[in-house]
This record gives sequence, structure tokens and C-alpha cells, in this order.
Amino acid sequence: MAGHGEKGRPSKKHKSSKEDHRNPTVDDEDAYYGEEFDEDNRDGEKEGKKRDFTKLELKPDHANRPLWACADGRIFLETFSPLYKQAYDFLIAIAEPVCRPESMHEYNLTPHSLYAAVSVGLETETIITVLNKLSKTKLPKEMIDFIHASTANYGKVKLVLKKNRYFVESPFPEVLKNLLRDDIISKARISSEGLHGTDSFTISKAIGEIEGGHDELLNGIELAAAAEEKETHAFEIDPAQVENVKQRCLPNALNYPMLEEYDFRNDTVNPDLNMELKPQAQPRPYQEKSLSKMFGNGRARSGIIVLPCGAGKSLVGVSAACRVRKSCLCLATNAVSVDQWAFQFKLWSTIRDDQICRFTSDSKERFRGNAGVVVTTYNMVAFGGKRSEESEKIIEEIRNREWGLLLMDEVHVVPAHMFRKVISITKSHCKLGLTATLVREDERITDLNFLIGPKLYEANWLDLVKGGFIANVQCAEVWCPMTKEFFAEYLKKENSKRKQALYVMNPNKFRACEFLIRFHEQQRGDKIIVFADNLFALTEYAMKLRKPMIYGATSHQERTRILYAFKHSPDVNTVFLSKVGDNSIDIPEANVIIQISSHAGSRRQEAQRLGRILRAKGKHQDRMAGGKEEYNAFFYSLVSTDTQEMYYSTKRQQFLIDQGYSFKIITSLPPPDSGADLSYSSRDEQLQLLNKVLNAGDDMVGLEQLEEDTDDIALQKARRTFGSMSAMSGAHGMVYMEYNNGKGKYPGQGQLKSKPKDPAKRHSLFKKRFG
Amino acid sequence: MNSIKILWLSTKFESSDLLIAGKMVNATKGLFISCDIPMAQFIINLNATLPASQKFIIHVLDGTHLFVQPHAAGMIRTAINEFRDQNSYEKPA
Repeated sequence: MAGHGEKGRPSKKHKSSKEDHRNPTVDDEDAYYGEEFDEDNRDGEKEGKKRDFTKLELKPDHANRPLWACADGRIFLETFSPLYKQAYDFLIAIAEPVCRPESMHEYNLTPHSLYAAVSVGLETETIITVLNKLSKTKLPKEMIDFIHASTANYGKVKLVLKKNRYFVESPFPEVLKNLLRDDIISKARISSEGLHGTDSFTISKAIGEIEGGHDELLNGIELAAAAEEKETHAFEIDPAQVENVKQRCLPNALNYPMLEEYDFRNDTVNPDLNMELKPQAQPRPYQEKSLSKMFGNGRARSGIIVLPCGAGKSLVGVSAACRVRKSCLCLATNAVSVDQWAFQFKLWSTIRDDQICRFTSDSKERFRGNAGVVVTTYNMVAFGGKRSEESEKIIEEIRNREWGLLLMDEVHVVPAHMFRKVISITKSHCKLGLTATLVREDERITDLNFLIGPKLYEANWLDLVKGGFIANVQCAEVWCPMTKEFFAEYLKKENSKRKQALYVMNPNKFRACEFLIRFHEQQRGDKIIVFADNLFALTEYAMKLRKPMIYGATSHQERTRILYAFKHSPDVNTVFLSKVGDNSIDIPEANVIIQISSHAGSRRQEAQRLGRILRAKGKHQDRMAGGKEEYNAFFYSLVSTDTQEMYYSTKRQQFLIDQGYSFKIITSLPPPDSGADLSYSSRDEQLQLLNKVLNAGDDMVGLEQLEEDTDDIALQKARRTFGSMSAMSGAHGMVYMEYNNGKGKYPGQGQLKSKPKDPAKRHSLFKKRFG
Repeated sequence: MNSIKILWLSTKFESSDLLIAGKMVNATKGLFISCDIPMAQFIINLNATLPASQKFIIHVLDGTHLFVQPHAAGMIRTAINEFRDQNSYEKPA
């Protein structure tokens, strides 16, 4: 599964461009060419010794147990074991998934993942016992110690929001004293005036006393809870500093991770919102599971739920809001998804129209009554400039309200500073983050842990595919060799800025694209989206093939018209999209994606584009494993070989590969016997195209800038560097590559080849064998 | 992808000149390179960036075959490896 030999090679490529890329005000061009990360130069030999687990003792009945636990915190799960389902549910709660291909999953135990485990209610001893039960070997002592050490302090400190003021609570005054020794935390503390000394805390004997006049409302359960709590010590902190305090308490600092729970059933201060799930809203098993993680003990926990696109994230969000039944603030990335969220709320729940309102630059609605749902964008809330009087009023309302639930969509795309602002402005008891792809090309993913909370649940993509909940996608990378003339220009120094245009406009790529469109339109009757980030290419391709296209400057009317035709007309089966289509345009009809150019090595974009076709189509039983159709969706990435695109393409695929997808390599498209009727078959035509590319203005060949799309601007400003959820949690993946030997599935596509391995990079052991 | 074959051209000719059809023929010892189209372009481009004294291509035979100075083999290999490394991504460990 892992190639040790891939490590310790001298680092390579773009090292020189690393500097510009550290520059935070990096512009698009630099972001494109300068994308780089530090390559890890670990000593392969040392690693090899650390990873020798031959001494671990196998249990006699090891064949019945599903997983291998290694002393370094890594856990391998056999997915073919009969106990897989149970083991998976358990592992996903306590460990970070690193890589989940078909038969063997890799997980990593990290302090963060254990923090998440404790916050969903698992206890140290339970974790160790269950792990031991499932493991084929005796649990290594190091692992037991690690679990003990990591969980010792968890759950001792709580962050509570009471009447719009934040308190840090703990039954142990020593712990609070400990915390206050920290500079940041002591500065954040708000001491009420006239207090006796700095060391005293507000002591509340039982929950009942805080709520003074509500004693008569307490029921039996509440009294029991109050009695249990006995004495709680607390101090108040500055709302603006909440995030810093939380960060200081994380495992890598003071190691008293805070639990944030909201006892919404007993919250009598905030008015209830009368809404329920409609009876036809039937959450699927994995949706139920993710919700049960959130509401495990009858209270609502803050955290993140990770579900692939098309798997029904919005139903999870709406269900959560229906359980909390308090005012809910729902944040989306742009105006289009605001409309979609509002629609989803009305679709799945019994909420009345006057209880839900949208707050965007176009529609400024306000709900009547004392509780309701507000759907808005991150930008609207975080916006720092001058607002109209009307929006100022609404913002003021949002600011002053105590929200029961803060629902955040697409948490992975929002820049951290914007999160900070949003969270400092809005006061909420519970935060739920939803995302499909918990990867970012910058290190900011780590911040989500203290900004929102631990990851509560992450679905396994392949399991959802097998269950027929999302489409089964065949991913393919199509290798298009550069033509002689294009490659000669590509290599010239003076064309360094046109490199992208040259490899995207490679005639062989164009022909492959045309062939695929023809094949899927005519032979299968599919609906196709073609993605191109490069505007010049987008226009050229779309014009030449006479297909409609949508990009940033396309008017709303035009977009609607094209999309309507795409959905309903049998003559319009292909649409060209620039990166505006990455997330804000919903096209459930499409089932084929052809990607001709992309934003450098962004793994998020790749996953998001795949998400466009993940929504399952057709009959449920056909999609199930062993059903009629093996694949019902296709994702092609066209790559010009011998160019930078190869590098980006492999990088982009990593996230999907970690989810268990494999990319088939297709060479020689169009097949040699059927290329004559495609465009650019003669050398003269190719030369004309080359001339066009070389003579196009610099502004034409670059990437699209979405200026009018204010909602998305902040997203592009995000600095991109390499980073991943697993890296931040310490779950460093080992080098993993999957090669598909490609048994041809579609007719007439020519032979499929596995990637040849560069002999120079072979492990020394293999080198000997291959000579 | 970019397979490249570098053959030592074994020549029976001595360095002496031959007279064929009334013309003097020069036999030059060199390398015969057989590769795919992009790599041939890469080598041609490499040759073009060098100063005249270091140029190594003796003849571009066609799109996939080149005839070069014998000493250039190592340099070409290194350049191609470097180029290829730049275009391939390895997941960091």
C-alpha cells in the first residue's frame, strides 16, 4: 500500500518560485505557476525501522478480527471483514481517515481525532476496550498510553453561552486556575467589577440557581442533571476572544480542549421555533448516523459533518435545525445557494414562509415573530464597509440575537479571517459545519477545529456508491500528446506566459474532447459538461464545436436560458462552463464531465467538479452493486502529456484517490482509425490554431477573473499552499498511488495503459530486479 | 510517454573519406536518437538554447529521429530527467 522508496528523493521543481508564493498578496498568475509546497525529506531508513511491526503478537483468532493497530497510531481496516460496518463506525469516530480505497482503509489516531471522539461521548476506557476487541494483534502499549495521555484532560472544560455572555466552566477550580495562568486566556477574561480577587470564580451550586426564577419549570431530569453537576466554577470571557481562548485550549497548547454543548431542550430563555421535518423527509442511514453523532446525549454538539456532494447535506442541515427548534442562522457561499437553502428548508420542514428569510444584496427580508431562520452569505455578515440603512438594521438584529444553531455550508472554502469575523459577530449556542471536501490548499483547515469544532462524522464515498446513494463514477485521465509545433512553442522561453494556453489548445486535446462529446452524445445519450478555466480555450472550443457556454460575464438571463435548454431540449446535450460552474450552478441532469483546463493543482476544485455529477440518477436498484449499470457517470480529465499539466493533474487527483477512486489512464484518443472527421486533422488547420494562440493578447490567455461575482471574490483571494486535514491532524499519508491496468470498458477507445514508472524512482529493491 | 532510445551508431567506415558518385562523403561518428515527437522537439529546443560552440545536433533526420554528437548522451538524459521530474507529482509522505 505504501512505497517506502518514494521518500528521501531530492526535492525538485519550482523550488525557486517558492518565495513569491509565500507572499500573501500573490496574484493569480503567481498562484498558478508558483504553486508549491515543501517536499518532505524524511529518512526512508529510519521510517522503515519504525514501521517494523513484526514483533506484535497476533491473537489466535485474528482472522475474525478486522483491523491492525500499529504502535505509531496508524490503524488498517480490512473492508472485506464481516465486522467492517461496526469497525468503520467506531474508527471514524476515534481516528482520522487517511486513505480509503476499496479493500483496505488506513486511519490515524491523533490528539484531534481523540478529542472529537471524547466530544461525541466516547470514554477513554471504551475506546481502548473496543479497539482491543477489534484488533488482530494485542494493542501496542504505545497506543494505549497515547490514548490515555490524549484523553486525560478532555471534557474537563466547557464553553457555555448564557444570556449573550460567554463563560468557561469547569467542575475543577484547579483547571481554571491552570488556564488563567496562560497570558491569552487571562487577558480575555472579563472580571466583574468589585470582585474580591483575581483568583475567585463565579461559583454556581447547581444549574437551577443560575436561572433563578425558572425553578418551577425544572423537571425531574433537569434536577438530576443539576445535582450531578454540584459545583461549577466559571469565569466570563470576552466574546471577541473566544476563538483565541479555544485555540489555546487545544491539544497542541494547554491541552484542555473545550466541549461545546447546547442543552437546547432546557433552554427556556430563547423562544422555540415551531418547525418539524415533513413526513416525506426520510433521512438516509448515513444521514441519521451523522445526526446521531451531533445529538448523541440529547444535547447539540458543535462540529463538522463531511458528506460528499449530492449525498444530501442540506437534509442533514435542515434536520439539525428541526431538532434544535430555535432560531437558526444559515450561512452559504453565494446568493444562488442562499436561494437553494431557503428552498430546502421549505421543502423538508414545516416552517412557515414568514418564519424564514433571505438576506442577500438583492433580497433583504426580515422574519416576523421572535424566532426564525435567516439564510445569508458569509460575505453579507462579514462585510466591513458601509451598508445601506436597511441591511445595517438586519445585521444589528443578527448581532444581537442569540442563535440556537449556526449552520455553515461549504466550510472548507471560506477563508479563515472571514470565519473569525462571522463567529465574532454572531453568537450561537451550537455550530454545525457542512462540507464535502475537507481539504484546502492552504493550512487553514486546521483552524476549523477551534473555529467550529471537531469533525463529527465523515462518510465513506465508496460505501455510498455501493449503497446507490451517489452515482458510480468512472474517472479517467486522457493523455493527449502535444503536437510537434505546439510543443516547440511550449518549450520556448518567450512563451512562458502562454504555456497554459498552449497545452490547453493542443489540437490533440481538442480532438479527444470532440471525440468524447460525440461518443457520449450519440452512443449513450448523455448530458455533458465541459469545464475550462481558461477563457480563451473556453470560447475557442465552444465556438468551434458550436455549443453553448457560460462564464463569469454571461448574464443571468442567458444562463437561465442555456441551462433550461440543457435540461429540457434533446438537441442541447453539451454545455461549456468556466469555473463559475464549479459550485454555484446546479445541474443535476449532467452525468459526464470533460475537464479541459483547471485551476492548477487544486484538489478541492477537482472534487467539487466531480460532485456536479455525483447526484444519483435512474432507478435505485440499477445503481446498487451488481445492478444493471456498472458506471452511470463519467469524469474525464484531458491532460497534455510532457507539460506542467501532468504535474497538476496528478496532484488534483489525490483527494479523490484518498476517497477510494481510481483514475483510468486512456491513451490514444481519438482511436487512430476514426480521427479523420474531427476538427484539426490537417497540419494546416493546426498551424492556424497555433497562430491564433500565439497572437492572442496576454489578457486573453490567462485565467478568468470573476469580477462581478462578489460573492466568490474572497474565495479566490485565498492563498493556496499545500495542506490537508490529515496533515494537520498528524495523519500523514504515506506515498500511495494506484495504477489501473485498465480493462477497456467502452467500445472504440483504444488501449488503456498503466502509468509507466520512471526507472530512476524505483525502490532500490526493485531496481535490482529490473536491472 | 517520451520513450527515448539512444543508439551508438556502429559504423564500418574508417574516418577516411570515401568517394561516391564523384563527391566526397564524410563519415561522422555520432549518436542515433530515436524518440517520440515531443522529446525530439525538446532536444532540438535544448540545442537551440546553447551557444554555437556547444551545439550537438548534427542532423535532424525526421520528427522522431536525430543524429547528434556522441558526447551529448549524458547531457540529454539529465535534461530529460529533469524536465520529466518537473512534470510529475509525488504525494508527499
